[in-house]
Amino acid sequence: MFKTGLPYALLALGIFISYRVLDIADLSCEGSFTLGGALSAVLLVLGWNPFLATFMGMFAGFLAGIITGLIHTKLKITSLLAGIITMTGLFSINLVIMGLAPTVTQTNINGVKDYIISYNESGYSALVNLNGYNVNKEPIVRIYDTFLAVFSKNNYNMIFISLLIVIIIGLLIYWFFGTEIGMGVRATGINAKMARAQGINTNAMIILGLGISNALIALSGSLFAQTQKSASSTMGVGVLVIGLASIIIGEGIFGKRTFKNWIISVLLGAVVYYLIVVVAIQLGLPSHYQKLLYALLILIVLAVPQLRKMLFKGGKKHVNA
Amino acid sequence: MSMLKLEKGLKIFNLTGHESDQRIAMDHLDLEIEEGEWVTIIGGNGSGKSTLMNVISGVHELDSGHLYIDGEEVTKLPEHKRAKYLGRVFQDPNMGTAGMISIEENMSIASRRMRKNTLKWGFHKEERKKYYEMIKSLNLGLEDRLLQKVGLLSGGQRQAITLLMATLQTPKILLLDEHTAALDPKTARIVLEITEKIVTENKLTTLMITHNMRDAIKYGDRLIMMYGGKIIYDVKGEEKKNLTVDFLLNKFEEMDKITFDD
Ligand SMILES: Nc1ncnc2c1ncn2[C@@H]1O[C@H](COP(=O)(O)OP(=O)(O)OP(=O)(O)O)[C@@H](O)[C@H]1O
Ligand SMILES: [Mg+2]
Repeated sequence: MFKTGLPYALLALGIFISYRVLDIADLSCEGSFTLGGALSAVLLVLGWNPFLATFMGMFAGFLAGIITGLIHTKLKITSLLAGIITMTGLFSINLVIMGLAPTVTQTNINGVKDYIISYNESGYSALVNLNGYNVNKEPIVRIYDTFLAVFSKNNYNMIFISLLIVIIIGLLIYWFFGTEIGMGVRATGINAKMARAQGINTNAMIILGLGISNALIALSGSLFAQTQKSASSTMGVGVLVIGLASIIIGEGIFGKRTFKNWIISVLLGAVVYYLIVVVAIQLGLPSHYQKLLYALLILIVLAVPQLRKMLFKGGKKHVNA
Repeated sequence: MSMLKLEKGLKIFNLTGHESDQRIAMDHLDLEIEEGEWVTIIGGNGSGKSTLMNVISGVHELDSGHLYIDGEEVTKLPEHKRAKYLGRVFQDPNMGTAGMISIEENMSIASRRMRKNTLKWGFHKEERKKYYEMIKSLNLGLEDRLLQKVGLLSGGQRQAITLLMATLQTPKILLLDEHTAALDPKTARIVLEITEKIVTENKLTTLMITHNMRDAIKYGDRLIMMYGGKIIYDVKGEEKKNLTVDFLLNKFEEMDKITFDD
């Protein structure tokens, strides 16, 4: 159950960096999530080391974020549009990237096993399957297939590796935002005028921040594809809402008193969010109602403070009367 | 050598691109300020006072002319790179500090204004004592609230903290743009007294915009009056000390009459 939930924690953290730390609504996340998944999947089929393939997926997301940042800061296009431009462009790029993965099929002719490696002729593809074989004619090795000696059960292994990555990334992000440069990014998001007056290059901080944000989102996409054993051109649809919901739920339940507290809240928010969705599905919620559930979840968490106020006020009035 | 030198500074704002919509905010302005000089700037709304500050700090780039700080030409230097020379306090108390982080974190950002930020940890325990003493000297009782978010402070308290941040690393020039205008009279007085203490103790070269004629006369060693993007009156020394509010108000009216008669 946790195995796909944990990558969402990184998604939430990535969106947290743009939406909360930089105070920028970056819509490119659906594109960078898919980008991370697509590139990692292709590299796995090409026989790359799974850690390297995962890292490259993350790095591609970093570059995508930098492009959004450059469009926004250098060409002075609003962040909302800059994100949309990147996302739109990425849709095609992701198809082309996935087209680079050959299909490896096993044949069995007269009892002799062999493999056929066929390359995409159309130049694009909307799906990369991670269930089969790589170009070295060996089974594809995902990041989750690496520590198999530690845990005999595949699912525990998945949870362990996902958890490890989430914890490492969480610590790295906490460390980064405590450094001078990280404080510069935070100051830029809170008050850019003040930041510039204090010698902070706010444009550079926005570009860097969006890079890190999209790197985490792409890493999340890469891990997601590896848990699902496939990457598809539409795997990113809806991740913005998932990320926002996780942030809002996390803040609502676990608070945001200090920056450390805030990061942990966002990570846990993604887990809680995922639990709610899984429970709802187990209870028999038809899948086409899922989006409605997401929307209601966000609405409830956002409305709680206001509802509390209304109830409180109502109670007071009652006492006064 | 002068600390600040502006040669034929020109700044024209144009929102639409049409010539009829343009506004000359700084009109071939020449200004030279000596090291350690404290200049008060007065002038009506739209006379170009803030534009002067914004041109010095790099918020706006000059359309033509040259700007030197301590002998170095900075005409083309972007705002964040000029920050190492300048301390700035704005009219809006929310502008000078970051509300969502603590007093201590704001101060630590300010203490790194002179150099490039690195991947070193952004705050050291030893800094706390220094900030504690500095804030204690404000006599506002804020020294025990170092860990609180700046957003919880009042406007006057935020301005006082901003002043500290602007001068924590001694700036070559301190720019104060109506920094007490948003405060109630009593708080404004307190912040001005803190300003005087900091400026005189550190012998800071200072430009201070104010709409309060009495303050403009009382503080500083030189007074500049602006009108239509130009300096129309510039006094210092004894002459400045002997100024009266009535004299300055007359000067304003004279100016309005001249342009009206045109
Ligand atoms: N960013 C801007 N865009 C367009 N016009 C501007 C801008 N900043 C200033 N101006 C114009 O330049 C002129 C001078 O403005 P400035 O802000 O320097 O005046 P000021 O002397 O500071 O006035 P106040 O006392 O109201 O603060 C005004 O006519 C103003 O409308
Ligand atoms: Mg002004």
